[in-house]
Amino acid sequence: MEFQSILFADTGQEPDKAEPAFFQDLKLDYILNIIKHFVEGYGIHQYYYTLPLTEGLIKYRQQVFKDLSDKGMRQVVQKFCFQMRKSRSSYRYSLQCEEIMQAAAYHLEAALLYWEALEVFQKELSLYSPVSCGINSLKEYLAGYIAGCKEKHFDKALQRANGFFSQMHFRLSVGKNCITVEEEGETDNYLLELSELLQVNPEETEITLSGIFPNALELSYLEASLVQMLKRNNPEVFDVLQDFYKLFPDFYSKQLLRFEEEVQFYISFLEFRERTERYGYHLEIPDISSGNEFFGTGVYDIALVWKNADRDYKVVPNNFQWGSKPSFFVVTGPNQGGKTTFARSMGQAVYFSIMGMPANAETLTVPFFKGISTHFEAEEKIQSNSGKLKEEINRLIPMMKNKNNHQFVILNELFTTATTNDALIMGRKVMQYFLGRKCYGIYVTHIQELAEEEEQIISLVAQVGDGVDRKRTYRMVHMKAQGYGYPEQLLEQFQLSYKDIIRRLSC
Amino acid sequence: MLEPFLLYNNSSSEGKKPYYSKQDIIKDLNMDIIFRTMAREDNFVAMNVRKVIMVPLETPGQIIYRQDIIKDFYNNQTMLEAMYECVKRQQKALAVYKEETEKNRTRQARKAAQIIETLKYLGQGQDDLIFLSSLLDKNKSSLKSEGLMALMQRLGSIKLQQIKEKIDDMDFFVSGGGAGYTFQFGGGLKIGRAVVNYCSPVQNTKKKSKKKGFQKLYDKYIKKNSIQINSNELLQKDTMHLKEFTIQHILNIFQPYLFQMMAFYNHFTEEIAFYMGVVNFMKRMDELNITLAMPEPQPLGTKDTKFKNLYELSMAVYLQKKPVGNNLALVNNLLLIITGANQGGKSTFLRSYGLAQVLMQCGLPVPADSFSAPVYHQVFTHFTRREDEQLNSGRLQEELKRISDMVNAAEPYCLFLLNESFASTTEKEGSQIAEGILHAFYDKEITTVMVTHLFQLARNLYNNKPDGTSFLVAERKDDGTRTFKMLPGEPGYTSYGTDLFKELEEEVFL
Repeated sequence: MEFQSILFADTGQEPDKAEPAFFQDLKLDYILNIIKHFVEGYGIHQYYYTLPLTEGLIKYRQQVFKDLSDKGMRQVVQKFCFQMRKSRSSYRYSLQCEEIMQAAAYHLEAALLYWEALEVFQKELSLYSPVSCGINSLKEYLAGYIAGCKEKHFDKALQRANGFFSQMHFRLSVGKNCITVEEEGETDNYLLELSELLQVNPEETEITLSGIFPNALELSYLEASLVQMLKRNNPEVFDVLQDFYKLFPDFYSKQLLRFEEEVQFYISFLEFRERTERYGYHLEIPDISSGNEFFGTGVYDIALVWKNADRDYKVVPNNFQWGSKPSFFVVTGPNQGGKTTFARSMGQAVYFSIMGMPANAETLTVPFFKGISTHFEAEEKIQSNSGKLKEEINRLIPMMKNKNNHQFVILNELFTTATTNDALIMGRKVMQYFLGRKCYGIYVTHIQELAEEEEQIISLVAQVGDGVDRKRTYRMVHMKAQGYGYPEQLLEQFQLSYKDIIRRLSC
Repeated sequence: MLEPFLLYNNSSSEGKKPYYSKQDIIKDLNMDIIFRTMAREDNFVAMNVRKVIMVPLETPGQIIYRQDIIKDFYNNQTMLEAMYECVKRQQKALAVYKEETEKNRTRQARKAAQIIETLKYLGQGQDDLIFLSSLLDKNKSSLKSEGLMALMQRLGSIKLQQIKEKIDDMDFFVSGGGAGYTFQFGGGLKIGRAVVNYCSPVQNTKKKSKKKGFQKLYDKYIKKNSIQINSNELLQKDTMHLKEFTIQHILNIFQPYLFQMMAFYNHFTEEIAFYMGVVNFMKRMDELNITLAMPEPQPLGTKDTKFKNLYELSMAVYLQKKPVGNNLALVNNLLLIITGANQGGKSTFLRSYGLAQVLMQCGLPVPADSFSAPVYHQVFTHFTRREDEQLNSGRLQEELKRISDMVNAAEPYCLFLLNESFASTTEKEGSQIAEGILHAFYDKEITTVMVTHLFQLARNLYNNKPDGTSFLVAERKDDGTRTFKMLPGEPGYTSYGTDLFKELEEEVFL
């Protein structure tokens, strides 16, 4: 396969610029905001917004993830990208400079950095034996491309131009009244001497000055004067510079530029994974089942992990097992018992899985879903009750109207402002619709009757502990829905239960 | 390494933890009066003695290290005063530097102004390092402490004079000397990778002389490739910028040294202020003819405690004479219960005990003829508080909360000083509460000294008398006079409070 894209292989799929509707409900916008900081300078959002259209592409990505999970290999790629960024920056300057000589000098610098990046990348990559089709075809492409450049004598022209340039040293003396320039170097290094005397770590000190006149696009008067002076004395150097500029005006490979951008998807997520694992939460590359197997252990809400990263807070993971047919988990249980968190963690796990990424679980097997649809309570909006129901239904319409099959659906607290009887009827209908479309889903509700088990309805209940304080365990257990203790909760809150009153009186 | 290390032999006081309940200790042991004596109205000394004393040392070695330095300073007071002057100078220099830095935030030519301020501060600091080094050197023969000798060596090992020369070089920026560079063209023909060859406050005659043999040729070359700065405003601006950039870079290299120097003076200031306070205090005691002794600290985990003629220092300072002293020799001291007459000096004794311990653990001499005690991780004081009375109903809770907070921080080998604790409830309840706590402390090898009127508690303990438990009673003569002596003895059922009541009755009714 001719290498085209590390993210979309040869499918021709294009990234989607718009954020998917489910992103906010699953708090993936929050997660992506964290992730993007791991690769500053690249726009990765669109890649995270785009679900692969084929099962093959998921597996293609999973392999690349496996390869780049090797920190060494990842660093090789990161180093390449870093060099490319430097090169592109110089190249950008070469396009923006008005002074033709200066543009040529930047152009040369960009080419030098580019060539060095390519050679190092090829050499370092050859030390690894990647398993993914993606990285292997990249390797192949790189070898061919470098050979092609050599055929065009790109490297030789580069060396010639740079050779002239790099050998020139000048001495500049700044006195009270005049500056003088001589065409030779001195060996004394005052800064080096000083850092030795002060025992400063040489690695932490810059013993040469760079960026003295920081405006990259414009020569300072002093610099311009020096250039003029030297142009007069060494015209040949400036000719060579311009020759190279004319000969190789545009030297970048489109595929490699694309690679540099797209590979940030992998790097950002792997860095994110490493950080998350440092908090004690594992991310595992899931199995994509060819049939309807859908089960996992240790699924947790990754947004909750990050929200509580600096606190002593343990996020509770859950295990789950779906039936052999598309079905719904109907989750009931006390308030603050972790129902929504569970639903969200499942949504995240499915998202990561179908993106071809490691997912927030110990083990995970997921069927191929074509998409994710979610319906969570909208942010507080001031509106009447009837208005709220209307708003909920308005949001349901597009989810159901598109008639997509094989979706993963999360419905969180639907129809809360309708009467129980109405909500029950509507809820059942909605679930039946999605089941008919071969969707799997989670329905979080306060209405017990919705959880009455049938072939495709599985009841999960958020658990509370046995202690007097009725502490939530945030565990979801497959069991018949039962009372979830509203009055108990109130008693507990005000410490007015029988046991509490006895305990307090005996204090 | 640029560090004074006069409080600890290998570190500054940074990050050292004070007593967990230092506010309680200061209040309960009446320490403010001692701080005041040390400070002699110098607020700066007051602040620092307070800070240093409230951090306990952890080993006899650390204590002796400090004791030795105290002896050296006591014997070389002129040197100490010179150091204190130096500290004051540096404090002022730093204050000016900080103030100017703050002002420079809003100034137009702030960069240049800030550079000049930094140079000034750096120069003053360096001068005083050289001063300190030679001051120590001058007094070398009379110094015996490890701490001061080591400081002298450390300062001696830094090339102070050479560094001073480099600082002087930077004057080129102010006085208009020159600088030389070797450079290459970097990307975009910008000056890149410039190496600074020299900078000097005077025109570089040295460099020119190198070329003597080719003088003629050189002159010709220079003429061709030299540009006058004065006539060209843009060039003037760029050259100034280059100089500024250079000096900024040099200052960046100086920065770790500058920070070290700041840290040095920061630590040194605290340390010298502390020793100044200690010597003030010793001098004052000399004036009052009150004896102090260097205590003999014993390792953590040991439990023998003995002292002769231990008296309460704040009272001595207040009365300006030596009060009644107490003697004691306790083997394996885990629990010491003090009972006896009201107004018999129990609390005073407890305070003197605690104060001596705290003073010893910061290296100070103690008010006694001799004093030997183990080092403890922590000292806790739990005294009843007058203001607690306002709380009344919540008082026991407050007491229990206070002790429970202390227990959070306690561990084996701590010292608890309890003064009339748990007296805010019935004797029975109080005894029960105290017994549980004392028992737990005992088992956990926490030493407790407790003044109590809880007769039932004292009696139970006396009957069982576990190892390491001792009982003292405040002496009361048959005629009711108190001697303020604590003597070994059996807890009695009365504290002779009625004596006091009698006095009151007499005062009021007769």
